[in-house]
Amino acid sequence: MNAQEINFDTNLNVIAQRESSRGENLTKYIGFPLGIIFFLILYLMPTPDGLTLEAQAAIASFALALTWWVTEPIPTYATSLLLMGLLTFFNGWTEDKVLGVFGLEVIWLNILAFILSSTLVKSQLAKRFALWIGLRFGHSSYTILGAFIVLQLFLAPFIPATTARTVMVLPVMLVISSIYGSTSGNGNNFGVNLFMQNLQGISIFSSGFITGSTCNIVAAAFIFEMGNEKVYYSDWMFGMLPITIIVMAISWWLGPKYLFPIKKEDQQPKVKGGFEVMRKMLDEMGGFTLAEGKSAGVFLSVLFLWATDRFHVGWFGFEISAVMAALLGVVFVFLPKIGLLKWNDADIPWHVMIFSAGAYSGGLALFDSGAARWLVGSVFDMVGLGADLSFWTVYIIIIAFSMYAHLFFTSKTMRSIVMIPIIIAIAQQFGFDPVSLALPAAFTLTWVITLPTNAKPNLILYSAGQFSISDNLKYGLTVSTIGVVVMVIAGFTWFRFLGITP
Amino acid sequence: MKYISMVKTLFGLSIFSSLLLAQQIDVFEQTVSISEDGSAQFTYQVNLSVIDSVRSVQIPAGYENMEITSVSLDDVDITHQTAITIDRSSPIFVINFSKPISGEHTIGIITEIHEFLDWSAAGPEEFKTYNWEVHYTNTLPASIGQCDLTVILPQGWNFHRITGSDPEFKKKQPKPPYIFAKVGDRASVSISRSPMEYMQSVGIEFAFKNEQKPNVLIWVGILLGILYLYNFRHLVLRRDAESTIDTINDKESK
Repeated sequence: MNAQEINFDTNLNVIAQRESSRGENLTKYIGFPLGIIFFLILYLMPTPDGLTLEAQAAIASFALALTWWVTEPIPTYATSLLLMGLLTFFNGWTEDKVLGVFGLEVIWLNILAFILSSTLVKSQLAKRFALWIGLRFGHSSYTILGAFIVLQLFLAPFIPATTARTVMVLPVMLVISSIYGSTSGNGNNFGVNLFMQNLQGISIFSSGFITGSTCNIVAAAFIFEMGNEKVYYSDWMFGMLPITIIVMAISWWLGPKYLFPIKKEDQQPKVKGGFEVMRKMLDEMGGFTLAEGKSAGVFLSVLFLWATDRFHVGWFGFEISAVMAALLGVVFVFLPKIGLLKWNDADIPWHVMIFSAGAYSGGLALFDSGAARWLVGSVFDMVGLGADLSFWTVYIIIIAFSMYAHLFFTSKTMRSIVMIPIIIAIAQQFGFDPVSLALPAAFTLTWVITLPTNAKPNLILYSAGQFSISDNLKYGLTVSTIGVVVMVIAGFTWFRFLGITP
Repeated sequence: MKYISMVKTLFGLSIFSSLLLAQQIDVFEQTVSISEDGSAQFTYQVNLSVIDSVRSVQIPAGYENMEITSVSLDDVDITHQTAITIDRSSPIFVINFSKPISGEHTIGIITEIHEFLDWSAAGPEEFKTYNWEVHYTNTLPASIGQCDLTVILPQGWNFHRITGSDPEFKKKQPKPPYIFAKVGDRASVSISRSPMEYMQSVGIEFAFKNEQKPNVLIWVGILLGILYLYNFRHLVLRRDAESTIDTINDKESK
């Protein structure tokens, strides 16, 4: 076992350098011309029926970027910048809109969340919690991975904001992965499994509760307005929570066993002196310091504001948005004397912010130009959802489509707005109960687990440098496919028992 | 004196309304086919219900400077019985019949405006796009059951972006009120309003541009691809020849 010092510090702004495997090099080599070919075909082909020239340019640009993000012939942030350029040059989106993405809530929330996360590291609160959780559950890699999944399950109903959940556990995950010998740029499969399973847990457990995400609420509203069926909190929870637990249990078992096998020597903490040293370190930390107390206080205050957003208007007369709550916390931590951080202590991965801005501009251009809506309609037409099909054929197609649609839509809420009404219309056209198709489809809306660009938590976790885009794609597609299978089985059994499916 | 003119106006309006109430436009389909020379052909198909027998019907024309090409009633040519008059500053078709009609009928009208699309006013703007709009307003008091407007662009041109519509497209709506389609080889967009009351409109504002794309992109793409494949051939030839590209932000170090 290669024993090493635990790295309790993070340095997310520095990109780790490493040598690629032969397979990765081949992927890069092919990826570059492949991206260009996709772009040229999609941009130069005759404009398909129902599509504008703007939407065609957006699709072509996004296809190139998606290919290069996955194969990485050039750095991901450079691909994002190129995507912003392509959208502008080929008029897929206007320049002011493309550049304006950097001022969007999502980017600000990421920046502020990283500053808050830095306070947990600087104050050593993250170190204390990581040592405690490592000593309590860290005797094998499986128990520690399972502990994090259970932690995500308990956080999901109380903290609907997925970014908040991510920022809360990220510093602890960084320390734990370091204990198991996985650091940014010097990682191992323990780190991949830990980060990927948390990424999945954050998104998948959000689908277990109607309040888990705005897109769930929007979907329920559509089902009520268009399908005249009210979906209650308990309907949603009883329907979907068991599915999420089953899928996450499969993921917990499958990842370390088959997808990213953890070497025997990586299954135990790689700390010089083992658990005794960890216990000693925890003892040496002594009682709670003032800095830890302040850090916990700021963090809990921000979490409180995030969790109680629906009551703000009653309390304050206005709503404090997630960004503004984080901003208030950050203002406090930067205050001289009473604060915790200086600017140089704030660990912000700017390359991820650039990457995010490009990814969001691509996704928003697809939506704004009508390309996303056209893609949804075309896929439904292509698979023959106009012909005389049985309920179960339609059900399987819709579940599969709604599960994988997150690859092209960066916004869950927009996906909800675009897809759920179409699915309700399809159900009505075939004479099916709208709930039987729309509710199971709505259950999959938050499963944004395949690419770092799919959701804010994914980007934050990706910035830690513990997994690659291809790792994310491999694990995410596998779990998404398992999700489809489980949802189909549930359609025949559990959902039928609950009266959701006929 | 003031009151007398007011009474006369009210009396006139009531007579006018009663004439219109005898006719009901159920469906009003309108196609505006724009040619490259800026002229446009307007094709109207009007499904009409006549409650009492009438000798004349009135239909809002919607656009100025129209020239009538042909008019038919249930496929019978009545071009010479039709005129365009101005009513309260709006052009309307007035169709007189030789015999009174009643019940359901279809009226077909084809007209033309020689200078409809003013290319110099429309653009070109950035990226060689042009902006234009087509609006049709119901200028008569009787409501129209359903009004469909289709705009067809000149051959070789396509819609770049819809910049406005009436009815308006709100972001939270699942789908826009307009639909794109191809009419032969030509790009078209359709929008409807149902019903369309007095002074309500149906319209579309759009940016459009030539569909032709620069073929030089293919050569640039091929050149970039070849340059990359040549400069980074070490990726697939020998692992130890050169350091790899610094693209990574992920696991497994050297």
